[in-house]
Amino acid sequence: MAHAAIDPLTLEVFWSRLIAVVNEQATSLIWSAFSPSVAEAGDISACVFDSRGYMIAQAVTGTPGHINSMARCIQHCLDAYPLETLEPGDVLITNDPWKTSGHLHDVTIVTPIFRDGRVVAFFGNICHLADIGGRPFSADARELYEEGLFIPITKLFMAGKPNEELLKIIRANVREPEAVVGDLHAMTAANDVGGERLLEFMDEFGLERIEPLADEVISRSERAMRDAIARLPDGVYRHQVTMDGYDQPVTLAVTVTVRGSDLFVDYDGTSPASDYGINVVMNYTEAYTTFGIKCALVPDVPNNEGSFRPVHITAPVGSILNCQPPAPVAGRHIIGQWLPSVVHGALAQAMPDRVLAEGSSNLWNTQFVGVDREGRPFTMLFFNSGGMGARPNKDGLSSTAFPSGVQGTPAEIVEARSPLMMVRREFRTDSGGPGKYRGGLGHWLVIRGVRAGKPYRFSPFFDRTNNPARGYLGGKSGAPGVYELSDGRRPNPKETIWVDPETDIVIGLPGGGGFGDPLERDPLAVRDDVLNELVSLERAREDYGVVLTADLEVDWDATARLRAARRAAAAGEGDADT
Amino acid sequence: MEPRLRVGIDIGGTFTDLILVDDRSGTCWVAKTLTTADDPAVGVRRALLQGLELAGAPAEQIRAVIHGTTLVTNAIIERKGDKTALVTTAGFRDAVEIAREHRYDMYDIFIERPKPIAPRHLRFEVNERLLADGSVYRPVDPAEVEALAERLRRAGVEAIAICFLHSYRNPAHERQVAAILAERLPGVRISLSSEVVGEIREYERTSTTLANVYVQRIVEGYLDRLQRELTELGSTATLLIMLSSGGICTVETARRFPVRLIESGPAAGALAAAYVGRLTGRPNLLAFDMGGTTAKACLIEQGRPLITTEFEVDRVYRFKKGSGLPIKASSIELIEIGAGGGSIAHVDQFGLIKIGPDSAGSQPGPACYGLGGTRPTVTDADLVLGYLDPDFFLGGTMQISREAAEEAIEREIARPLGLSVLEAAWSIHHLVNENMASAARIHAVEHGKDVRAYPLFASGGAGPVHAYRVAELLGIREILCPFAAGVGSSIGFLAAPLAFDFVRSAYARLDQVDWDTINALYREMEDEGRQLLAESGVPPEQVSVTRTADMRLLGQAHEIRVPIPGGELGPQRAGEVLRAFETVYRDLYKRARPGVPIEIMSWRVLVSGPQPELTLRQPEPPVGERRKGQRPVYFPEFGGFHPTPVYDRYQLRPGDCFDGPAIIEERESTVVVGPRGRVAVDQHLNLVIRLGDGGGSPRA
Repeated sequence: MAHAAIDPLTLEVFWSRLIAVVNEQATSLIWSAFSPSVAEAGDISACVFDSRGYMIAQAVTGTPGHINSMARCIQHCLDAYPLETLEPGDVLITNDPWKTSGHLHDVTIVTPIFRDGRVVAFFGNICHLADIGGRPFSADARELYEEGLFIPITKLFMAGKPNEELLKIIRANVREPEAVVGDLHAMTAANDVGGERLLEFMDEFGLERIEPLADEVISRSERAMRDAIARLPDGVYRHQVTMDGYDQPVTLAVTVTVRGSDLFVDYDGTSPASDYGINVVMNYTEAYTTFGIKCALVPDVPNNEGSFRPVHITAPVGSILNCQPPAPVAGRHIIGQWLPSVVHGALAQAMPDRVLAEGSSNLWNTQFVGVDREGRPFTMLFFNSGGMGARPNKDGLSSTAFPSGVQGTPAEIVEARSPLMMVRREFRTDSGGPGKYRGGLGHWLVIRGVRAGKPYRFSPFFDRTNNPARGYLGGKSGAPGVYELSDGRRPNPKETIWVDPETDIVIGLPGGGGFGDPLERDPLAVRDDVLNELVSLERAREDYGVVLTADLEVDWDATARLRAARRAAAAGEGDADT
Repeated sequence: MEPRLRVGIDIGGTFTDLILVDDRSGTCWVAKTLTTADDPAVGVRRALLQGLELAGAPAEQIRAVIHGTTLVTNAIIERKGDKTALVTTAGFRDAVEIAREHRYDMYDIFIERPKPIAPRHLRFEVNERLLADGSVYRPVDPAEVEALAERLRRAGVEAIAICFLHSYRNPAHERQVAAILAERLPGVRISLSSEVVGEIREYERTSTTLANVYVQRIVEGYLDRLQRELTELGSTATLLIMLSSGGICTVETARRFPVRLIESGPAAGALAAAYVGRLTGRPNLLAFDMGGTTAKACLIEQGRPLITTEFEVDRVYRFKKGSGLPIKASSIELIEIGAGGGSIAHVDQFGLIKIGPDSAGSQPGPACYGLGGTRPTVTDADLVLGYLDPDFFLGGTMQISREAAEEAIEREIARPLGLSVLEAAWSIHHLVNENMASAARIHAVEHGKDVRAYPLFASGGAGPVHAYRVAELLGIREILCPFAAGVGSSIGFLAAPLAFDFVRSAYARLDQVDWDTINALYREMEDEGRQLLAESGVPPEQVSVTRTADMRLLGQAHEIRVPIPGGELGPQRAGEVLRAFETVYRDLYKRARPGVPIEIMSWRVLVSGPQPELTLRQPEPPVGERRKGQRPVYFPEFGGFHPTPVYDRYQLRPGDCFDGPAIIEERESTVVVGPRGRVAVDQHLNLVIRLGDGGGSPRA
């Protein structure tokens, strides 16, 4: 069966099949991996590339920081090992932050797939491993060397034989060697599953090469992306946000230029690299930038080489978004996960109906290391998320990860697997930014090391304690994050500290920003929020101009009067809030 | 005379299906009436009268009625249950809404999360606390609970779910609080999470407990009416209810744990497949059911459907996985996708054809129904391709229009893409098959299975129309189409043994298990099961007990179900458990387990009665012509329409054999056999279609 030009039916069949192939690859990985950060949180990614290294399809799972970074990683692999140097049974491995997804904990496995002695495709996947040596997972390092073992692009398997020398070094450097090496094998096996299915697919349809298919998929995706960009008015859109940073505030500045069907994103004006481990490599900057653009412009277009092509991303060398070795990078997600909202801030000027207001942004990771009362060591890592920004037509989601795609961990699992106790996990009243559509709420999270044997180490990855998520088009900011200890300390939200077992760690996750003027919010929606104690009676009046009776019914007349007065006052002051 | 009839009743969205079997002769009769949505018991009564008339037997001859219903699912989807409150551990009233802090779609910023059954203002806290080992950190203060009772009363609450942290380990606090509330709030239904689903993970447990108590009053009322109908008909039959897991329980259990009935309809369908598979020596099957809005696939292994411990109900956003309320309860494991006869085809922004998930349903229906639907559906494509006969739809009781189907496909698919109507129709047919095949493949791989090794069991109105091509895509060489697919699932009710599931969570590492505790847990669950079976009339010697445990490697998120040996357990038998784990692990992941400690999350028991004997015979043997005509049918192998013989399903006899291409019509469905197929009718009147290189090579 030859395919000079692929007709739509054949293309759809082939494309669906490729997606089924990578989903199978991902499923195999999820079910056999056993690092908690991989499997409990669903933090993996899987995709297929053609022999030129163009990404064609990715699994429906996957986090943006991984998947787009891997699209770049494959080119680096080909530079290190050109096609003619690869043989069947070879498997490549790396965790080079600059060549893949930005920190040493993420390991990438790439497998070339051979057919009749020729490479026809590559399968790749990334997992966040349980440990990579060095310091416990934290943002404290001053140099990359402190953050763990660095594996340059090298062979994990050679012609089907494991590289035992490399495995020996890995085992000797990590805290949980069995889990880490076990996951490396699971990752390798997952690529094999994908490769096997791809070859079956090629046999079934008599395909010699997948490049024609790739070209078709890529060119259609590129066309869809270009169409979406072309619909935006040409222009230059600037936006800037300020973050807490580690030791000093960080500015992320963006200039988005729309010119025809090309979109240029430039981060000139962004702060220089930090002395601490919150720096972002260019790959990861590109990943989260592309992700933000795709969400807003073409959520249904698959992620591949084609959807990247019309988007051109640059950041000053040496800036916090394009840091250079040996800058420390372990906590790179803190910064990187802000980028979608930075880009949305610029795009909002061109397409306000397709973007979110600012949200909590980065995951609030909490990492604990210590011993329990019996003297047994424990480590516990889980992810926490504040509110998402409000949408142009809906409230923001409360306590929901965005842009990351990982999951939280149940309190009962945390307590069964560590000496920690979750004292409280409850929405923060009034934390959602007021707006016609309200920002999502953050929640209170209180942790006590109730069965810890002695003081334990706690590594937070928090931001937005000084810089709340801002609303759009008249929407107000969400509540900033809170981080304090019951012993009266208010530590740096990114610094590892020692905590006594009886001390409570009190965390208030930030709320998302609102969308549109809160005075336009449906009074019945405000009333529901008050009834459910998501918004207090006082804030309903102050922020939304809604007056409720003693039995929580809307006082329509009083509300109309109050809102009119508010509007008149605002008109007098001019547009103060944006 | 000893009563000899058993009755299976399935209440579906449109039809109430009934099958009646004479256990002495094996003769079966079927009846079908419209479902009476306002009071389903009325439709059941009608169907029962119809069935008894066919059988020529009085109601006293009924020994048992086994019943499945979508009532629970519908009550949740339509939010028709009681005003329900949640009572939680202090600090955790939002766990049910914070959920897993997760977006189920990566790129879609407009997704919605499922809404908990209890809104926040009906979620209350009690200042008690247990630790993970079940020890008491802070006891219950009765005075606080009494004050809470007053608040609940004032709020006008009709039902209460109590869900405390770590109650799976120690239910004492939940029981203590329930006792106080029950005393102060007579008539209010109360469910305890430790009783509904005693398993770790507070979000899923709470969601399940809420769903349970939310529908309890509706289910109780319905079951009472059903029982009354039976009594009024003069029957003293035992009324039994099918569980989502495919087990059967007493009315009493169904009233206490209605959440266990959510998938009872589909469970019967899977059991029907398992039954036919056992009957015909095919212990492994892929059951494939395609109806009007969705298609379901379910693996049958060793004569049993795969069972899952968690699923979702009420998906609120584009049928997406993750947008529903999680339910922790044993259930037939199935994958469901928005691909049915009514699924709408459209051209997307890339100029590609997409099918579903939107469905025309029965209102307005596919374009060919002429009931107001104008968008092209899968059924329209099937009609254009000649797979369906416009004059024999639902046995000729409903006229459908080929012209309307062509017009819709022409307007929305063919013209925009520059295709002929025929090409467009084939594309729709083919793509929906691809979608179903992909879903089935993923379903199989999630269980480490190779789907090619499983014969396809086709049911549902559209299942037999698409089975041939789906099998081809999956590399499956054999298709099984049961007789009377339209009531196929009610056979499942009669094929299932009486069985009760139990589960207790008690986390432990395998090398540190407190075996005395585990022995006590197993004893408790097994005694309860035996007692329930005894109450249902099962003699003790016919009871079988199957133990399993959910185990995993330390750090893994996914548990695997491992068989646990019977009898008294102890450290000297930990090796047996270890070997059982290793066997299951190797089967699933094709490699030896890494040298990591093993942990056990939950302990399970299935206590079941004997497998019922069931052999089916048609009341009247066929006497007429097998072949009822010929019509042009589209097969791409022939490059277009091909004159194809049409067979009458009701005239086929055991031993009949013919080559594809062929069409076999029965009232509720049509079997399409392509050119590579060879059809044989087995002794149970199943059509067995083998796909090979021989048989019906293209003659065009």
